[in-house]
Formats: sequence, C-alpha cells, structure tokens
Amino acid sequence: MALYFNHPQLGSVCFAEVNYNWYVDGWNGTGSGLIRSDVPLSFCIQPYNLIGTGDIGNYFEILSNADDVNGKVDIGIIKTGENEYGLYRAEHGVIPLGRSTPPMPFTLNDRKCSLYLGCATSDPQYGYSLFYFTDARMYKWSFSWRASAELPTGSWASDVTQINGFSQCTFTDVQLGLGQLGIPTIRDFECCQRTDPNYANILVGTDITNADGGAGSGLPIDYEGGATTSDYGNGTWSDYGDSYGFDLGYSSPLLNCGLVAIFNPTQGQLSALASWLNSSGLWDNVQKTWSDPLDCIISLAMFPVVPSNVVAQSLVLGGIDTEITMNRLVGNDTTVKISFGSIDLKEYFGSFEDYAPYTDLSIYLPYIGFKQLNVNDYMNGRISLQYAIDFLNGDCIAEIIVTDANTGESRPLDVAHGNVAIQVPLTSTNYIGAYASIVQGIQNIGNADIAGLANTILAPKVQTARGGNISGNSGAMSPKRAYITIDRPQKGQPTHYNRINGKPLNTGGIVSQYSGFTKGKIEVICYSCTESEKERIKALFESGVYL
Amino acid sequence: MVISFFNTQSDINVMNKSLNPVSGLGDINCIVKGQIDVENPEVLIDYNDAVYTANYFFIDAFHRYYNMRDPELLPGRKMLITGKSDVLMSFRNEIPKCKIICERNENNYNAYYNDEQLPIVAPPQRKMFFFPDAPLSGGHDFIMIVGGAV
Repeated sequence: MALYFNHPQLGSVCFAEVNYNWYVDGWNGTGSGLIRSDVPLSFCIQPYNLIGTGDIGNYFEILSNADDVNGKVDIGIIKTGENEYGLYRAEHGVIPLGRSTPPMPFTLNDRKCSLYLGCATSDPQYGYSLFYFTDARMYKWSFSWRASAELPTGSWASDVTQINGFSQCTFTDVQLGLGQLGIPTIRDFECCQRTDPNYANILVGTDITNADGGAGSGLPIDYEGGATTSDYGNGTWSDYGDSYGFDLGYSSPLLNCGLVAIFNPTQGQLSALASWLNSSGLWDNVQKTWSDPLDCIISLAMFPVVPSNVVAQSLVLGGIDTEITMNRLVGNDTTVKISFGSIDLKEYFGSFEDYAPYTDLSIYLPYIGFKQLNVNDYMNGRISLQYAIDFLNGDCIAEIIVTDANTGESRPLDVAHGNVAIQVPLTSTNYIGAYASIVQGIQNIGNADIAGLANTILAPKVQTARGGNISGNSGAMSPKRAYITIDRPQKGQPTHYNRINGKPLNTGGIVSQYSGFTKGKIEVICYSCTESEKERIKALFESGVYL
Repeated sequence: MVISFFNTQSDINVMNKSLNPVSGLGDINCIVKGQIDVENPEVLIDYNDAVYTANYFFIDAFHRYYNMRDPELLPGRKMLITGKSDVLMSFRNEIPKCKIICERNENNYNAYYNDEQLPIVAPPQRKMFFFPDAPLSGGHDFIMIVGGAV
C-alpha cells in the first residue's frame, strides 16, 4: 500500500510507502512504513478492501514510534462497507465510536491506538474502510490487522468465513476518499493492485511488496521535519539492516584430541584426589615417582558456572587410574553461554533529555566492571546481556545487545571481557631429587646394601614449591548481578515557560496553524503594509509574538 | 478623519489585542499635522482630559491601530497625538495567511529538539535497574584441567 498526500493548505507533499506482508490464512498481517511530513500531517489509510458477505471487520493497531508525535491525532472514518460502517471500539485513546466524518479528535496514548472497524456488506459487495489522520506528526508507523476474532458476536463478524476474496485497495480509492475531504493528492508511482477472488495467485505468507511494484524501500526519518527526497542526494533511502542472532562461544575439537580434559569435580572428589596423591604405599610411590600425577593437572580453578555437557568418568592422571569418578566436559564447545535477561529501556521524559549528552547510561558487568554505554544506542530498546565463559582459562566475554522495539532487529553494540576463574594454587612436587636417589640406590645393589636401598627408595628427597596465581578473586568478591544505571538530568523548567518562551518546533506552515507564543521566520505577504512594517512584522515574529 | 481611542493591557507582541474604549472619549475628528505618515502619524485633536487615560488609538482612514505616545498639549487647546503603527493588530487578518517556519511555539512543539534555553540543574537523578536473571550469583564449582593421555 502506498499513500501520498498533500497538505490541504500548504501544498507540502507528504508521502509514505508501506511495505508489508500479506497472509491469507487467518487474515493476519503486519505492515510498517514511513511517513514524512513537514506539516501537521493529513493522511489516510485504507488498509483493506474485502470482498465478502455479511458482516466483516478488521482490527487495526496503529503504532507510532515517531520522535515527533504530538500526542494528538484527528481521526475519522470515511467509509466502511457498503451499507454500514463505523468504528465500534477503540483502545489506547479516546475516539467517538461510529461514523466520524469530519474527523474527531483522537489522543494517542503511548503512541498507540487500536481501532476496531466493522462493516456490513451484502453479497457480492465489498466493504472497505478508510480512516484518516489530521494534525498528526509521525514519521514511522506500523499497523497490524486481523480478521474478526476480535469482533463481538452478533451483528459484527457473523460470517468471517464467508470472506472469499479480497483485493488490495487502490490508490484511486484513497484519492477518492481524500477527495471527499477536499484534500488534493499527489501520485508518485503506481500503487500496487491485486485482485484475486479465487486466491489463485495469492502468495501466502510471502512478502509481495516488491512484486507489486512498490518503489524504493523507505525514506529516511526526517528529523528536520520539512525535507523531501529532492533535498537530499542520491542515497539508497533504504531502511534495511541485518539482524543479529546470538552467536557467542566457539566450536573446537580440543576436547576430543586426547591431550586435554576438563573435569568438574566436587569438593568430595577433590578431597579424594588429594588423599590419593598423598597416599604412601610402596607401589604407589614408585608409580608416582616415575610419573608425577600432579604434573598432569594443568590448572584447578573455581568457576561461578558449571558445564552442562558432562559425563561421569574415572580420572586418569599420567596413565594412572585414580579410580575417582567425576564429571568430564565433553563435546566441541569449551564455553558456556549464560543470559542475564533483558531490560526494556524506555524514555523517561519523552524528550531530547532522554538522550545524550543529557542522559547517561552505564552498565555493571559482574567479573568485568562498569562500562559506559551510549544511551542513544539503547533508548527505547530492549537491552539484553549474555556472557560466554570459557572453561579453559576462565575468560568471559559479555555481549550487550539492543533489540529495536519496533523492528525487532537485534544488534550487539557493546562487548567487554574479563575473567571469572579463581585460580587455586597447587602444590607441585619435584621428584628430580627422588629420581636421583632411586638411581643411586639401584647402583648400590652391587654393594649389597639392601637396607640402604630400601631406605633410599622409601625416603626420596621430594621438593615442593608453590605455584599458580590467584585471579578473578576481585570479581568473585564484587556484586554478581548485572545492572544498568541511568543518570537523568533534572529539568529546570519554570512555570509559564511554554507561555513566555515556547518550545522548539521547527515546522513549516502558515501562521493560522499556530496559536499562543510563536517564534519563527515569516514570509510577509501583505498588500497594505509598508516595507518598513513588513520588516517590523518579521522582527516581531523572530522575537516571538502571541497569536 | 476620525480617531478612536482605547485602552489595552495587551503586550506589544500580542496580535489580537483586547481593547477597551476610553470613557468619555468616543470617536473624535482629527486632522493630520504635516505630511501623512501612516506608520508614525501626527494628528491634532481638540483638548480632552480623557485622552491622557488612553494608550492606543485607531485611525479609520489609515486602517491601522497605533500604540500611542504621550500626547502633547499645543496652544489653542489643541493636542498633538502621535503613535506608531501596531503591525500585528493592524494586519491581523492578513498575517495568519503568511507562511512561517515556526521555530518555537507555546502549544505545539517537538520535545525531541534540544531546547538549549532550558537549564539543566545538577545533580542528575540516578536510577539503577537490575537484569532479571543472575546466573553468576550462585556458589563456585571446581574446574580442573588435566593434560596428558586421559
């Protein structure tokens, strides 16, 4: 669907393009688009055009995420259906029900309105609705609709199943509707048209936007309020952006090569291991002397997380089976991914003060610390936090992802890294001296000093030394819950500020559109003014006048 | 030529001023002194005490309202009335049709434009929000890495 409008008084072109998916099944669909306007916007939407029998109806949800929604929309329904028409329920705002032409004031609450439209048709008539907005400033909007499940029983939605076809609205319909309002229209390109009562060529669940010949893929958000495409260069005007899926961690065959194994012992299992290492049996000592089992322990650390992909297995150190069974990490991934959930960050003021440099946003990441975030990146989005922790060395990486509340696109915007492991100092054993003693003892066999041999072997000169570093302890002693902090500015707005000073608007229009304190640049067209008076009028408007 | 006197409490930058007629001072005939200057006229009227209570006048022939300056008493019981045209009130029917780029407005504004005239006071309000899950808040478990053929 494409919409093009011209402001009735200013002649400023307002136009929009809507890309959407069309679903036959269930009559559900969603759409979104951009509308740009340099003036309080008048536009119409004719979201559907049904061919059906009986009473049919649709539900529309219009959600504006504009930076500039003023909170007020005049909305009216020109026509729904051939015989009956009207709006029978509205949510998220106040609107008179029933037929409403001319438009009635409607206040958007939370930038959202839900409209339930119904119409009655007589076979094989078709019904359509056309509702329009005036005095709305919205740059982006979306809508969804679904068939009459939302409609009450009775006269509404009595036989939705009899809907046997549909045709998309044509721009001609829109133009006709606007014509009823006396609003001239401008047509930039052919609107998509599709009529197929037999469903034959309907692509269920398929985006048919481009197939229908829509031009372009959107327009940039117009923060200046008055610019049109002609004011810009030859940009793509595309709103397309890739979405990002969670992709932390890495895959490695390391654990399958037989060189390294990661165990997740319990405290009891470690105690058993310590007992085994310190056992003093003769045969044990000989085995441990020739192959020090402790040398095989590369590291022992404490982690705040446990691996999930484990199997129970007897621990073998240096070829010696300790006969202590403990969980061993298996698979191709030595990392674990954990999520902290998400926080919806919503505007507090609903103004520029919610953004940088006025509002500051930072995040505390356990085992990493504080990190400053760009509030502009996250405001009005869903902030998700997840970690990947590597059991090999305790390294962790935190990924902070924002999901656009309107488009659903997710983007990782910040990463940080740290280490969660608390290394446990191990006592390594140096058997070099012991080995020398044993060799010397064997050489002494020739001297028949059996007693000396036994004493030598059984009393090796074992040296011990401390090793390992303690790291990750500071993280372990710090808060474990992740959180964000927001520093919001305090407004210093005095009473009567708006009355005496006004607030920024930066829109074009004619003077009669404004009221109260108004400041701006005016083009004075006044036949009876002197040149001096024209200059004075300009000067007065530049300093502010009360209209 | 007729001059009408008023009192107005409206500020000079108000387009539609509220005007109150001056008691005892209706429409008065006047004559222009010197050359006609519709923007800064000088007219002569007969002396009338009530003129001193007026601060605004309208000259029908010029189709203009004027902010009145102090009247000057002249010999022969004449008063010199001077003023400067009020362009907003005088052209209040034409100005609304003019095009404007409205930079600031009392009733209609875009809150997302940076209002540099709005002071921000310190300190800021600080709020903290926890992520709902705390997967690292539990105890610690041992991880042991073992080398060699296992």
